[in-house]
Amino acid sequence: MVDTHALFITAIAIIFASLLFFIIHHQTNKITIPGLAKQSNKQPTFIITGLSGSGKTTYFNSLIIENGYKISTVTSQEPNLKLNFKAPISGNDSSVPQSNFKLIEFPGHPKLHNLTLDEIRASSNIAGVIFLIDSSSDSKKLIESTKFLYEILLRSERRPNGINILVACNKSDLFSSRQAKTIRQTLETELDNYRKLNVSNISKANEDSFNTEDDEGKELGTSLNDTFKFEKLEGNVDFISGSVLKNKTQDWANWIDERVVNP
Amino acid sequence: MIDQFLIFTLTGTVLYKYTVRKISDNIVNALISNVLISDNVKLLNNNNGIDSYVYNGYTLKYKRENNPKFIAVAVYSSLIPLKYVEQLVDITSTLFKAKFADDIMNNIDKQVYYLEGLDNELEKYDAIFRSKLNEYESNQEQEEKQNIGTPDISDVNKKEIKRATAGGKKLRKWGADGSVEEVIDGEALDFSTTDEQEINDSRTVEIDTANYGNKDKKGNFLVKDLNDEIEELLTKSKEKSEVKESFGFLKKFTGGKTITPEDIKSTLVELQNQLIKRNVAPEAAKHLTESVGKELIGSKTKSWTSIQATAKEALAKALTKILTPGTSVNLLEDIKSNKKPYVISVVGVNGVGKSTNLSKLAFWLLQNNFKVLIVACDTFRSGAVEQLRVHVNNLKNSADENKDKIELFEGGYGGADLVAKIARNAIEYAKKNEFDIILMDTAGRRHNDAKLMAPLSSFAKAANPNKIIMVGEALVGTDSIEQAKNFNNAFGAGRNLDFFIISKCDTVGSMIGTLVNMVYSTNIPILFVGVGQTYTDLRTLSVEWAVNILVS
Repeated sequence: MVDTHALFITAIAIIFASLLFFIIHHQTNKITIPGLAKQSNKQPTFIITGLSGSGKTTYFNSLIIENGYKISTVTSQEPNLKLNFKAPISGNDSSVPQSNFKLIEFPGHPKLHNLTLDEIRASSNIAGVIFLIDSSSDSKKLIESTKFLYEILLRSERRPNGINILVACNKSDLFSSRQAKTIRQTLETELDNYRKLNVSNISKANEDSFNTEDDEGKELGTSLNDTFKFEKLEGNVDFISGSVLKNKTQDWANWIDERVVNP
Repeated sequence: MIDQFLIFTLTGTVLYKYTVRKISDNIVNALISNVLISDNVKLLNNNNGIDSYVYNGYTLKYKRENNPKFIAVAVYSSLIPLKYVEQLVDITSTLFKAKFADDIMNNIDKQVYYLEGLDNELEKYDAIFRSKLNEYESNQEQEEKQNIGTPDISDVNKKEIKRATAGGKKLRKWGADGSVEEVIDGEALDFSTTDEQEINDSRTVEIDTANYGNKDKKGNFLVKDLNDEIEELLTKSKEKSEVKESFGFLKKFTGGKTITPEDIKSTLVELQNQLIKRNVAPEAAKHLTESVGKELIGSKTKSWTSIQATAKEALAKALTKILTPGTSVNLLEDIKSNKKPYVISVVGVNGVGKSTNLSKLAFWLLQNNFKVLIVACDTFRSGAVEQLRVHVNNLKNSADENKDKIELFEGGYGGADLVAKIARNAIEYAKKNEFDIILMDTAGRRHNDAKLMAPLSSFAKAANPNKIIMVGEALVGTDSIEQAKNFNNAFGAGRNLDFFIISKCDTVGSMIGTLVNMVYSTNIPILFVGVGQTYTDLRTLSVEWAVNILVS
């Protein structure tokens, strides 16, 4: 009798304590850079990212709404998020039943790149990254894309087996657009140069008061004496042309489905 | 005549679009990139919460709504002053909010970010928008005519009204109809001809009710209908703002509370004080907390999140946006893609560590196999040249291979003319001897003394550096804003600072507000931070690290 009573009181005490802890924990939660990584959701994530004006929001809309590619867009300031995104996209034709995914589309403005990078570093379950490039952009813009992709690869390659990345070469319908193959070559060369620069760059001041940050992996898979190759990376990197505005994104959808079927 | 009116979400989807003349997407995108994201431009804030921004010959007036979050913007040519735009944006965004707020909130729950299945309602809103626009436009036109002093106003009106109702060229006067291009969901909205007629008629009636009476019953009905709807929406929005939340006090703890200016005032003051304690200048701290307030007032806290936590998170976001450079900061890349010799000059107030950081830069460049010439352009302070010579000797001895890769170029002591002469000669010498990089040290000067600052512009002309780097010390507080501003403006038209190096960061602990001050006041990125006495104590800035220190 006494035993059950004691047990009861202990149980209540424990419940109270955990509740209190829960609340306090929420109040004093350490502020990190706001990202979506903190959201506790077990669904594997597909990330859409790239520079401003590469067509990310339009592609996001086209994935979640029928005829979504017709909705006009402007530069995004905040990420778009869709939970319970059903994939494989092709649905019934596939032998694999559809399951739920998280789809996040990040803004492309340089000041907001950290949102993408934080998510890739912190998220526990990334099914794939879709990196959009405007195929019609000039080489200066392509170099900008390269730098962003390098930052992404720095984080994605630190994970076991890396992360699969689709470089979606958008706007391939335009007269001035480059082929996916050409873009791949250009990016390979630029990444080769850029990683060499970054190995010799000055390291970051970090939290342990100015000790040098972990510099591992800056050379991205290949030693600096060899030229950089996408094949040498842990994660697969595929380059596929398409056009969101012309609704020619079937090949990208296939890529996504492939990641779902063979994760 | 406005060219475009847009309502869009922060996630980048356009909810409503009214286009008269097709203008480049870049105009509105520039507003988003330069103002809403980068916060580069100091705006003149108008009373109703409507800001204006000028870009490429266009004026953009916009209003930010917070619950739900969307932005309404009107674009028009800056050449034609339009007085009514502010009112128009204010009223139409209020109407939009009243009409669609619930739908948008529902959509956010469903994670759909456009107005799904509401085409009819959007068409109705479109009619409302057009009638409001016409009302304002005809008012302005009449006003203008009165100012010009046309002899018989009603006569002119009669003619116009006849033209407006007659079909054919009638549209010209009103501009809007003829050239209207309406796009929702990327498709032209199918306005049937009768709709178009109705709208035209409604305009007619509005102008001539006084003179002619209501001729067109159909048109009259439509106007009445619209006016009723407008009235209804306005009362709705008024009511909404007055409704008190029940159990509001509980929501403080459980989250989901709508934030009012009173709620957040004390939190903002708290945050502002914290920033000031971290050595952020009051001006910058005020700006930051104000922008947090702007973002949060009217929005709802997340579940289980207090206002304080929400505000702190928003502050972290604002700080991150300020400190993250808008363009890539990669000095090595720039050096490699430019022709030799690459000239870097270092400027700053006395005693901030110009020479020391110059030597640190030199050490890093030597490590990257560049041949470096150090130029003593401080011809003023006694011992300046000798100090550099010591550094150069040290660097020569730092490694065997460095012996022939670094040299000092000096020209003794003297006035401002000598500085320009030394700079020119040094560049010639560097070209002859195939140096890759020239590092120019300059005399320290007080930023608020015009006499001392004036020679900088002639120096910039003579040396024409690829990069001008200002060294600022982390120890300075509020004054760093003025320092950065004055140095940034000292190099004459068309030339600015390129980077900051913030020295002595190891000496201030958590009081690293100077980083924010300097970037805030000039929008120039931080290249490195100095974190110690030895040649290797140079780091790039980790924004995450800095933000964590500032908000915690």
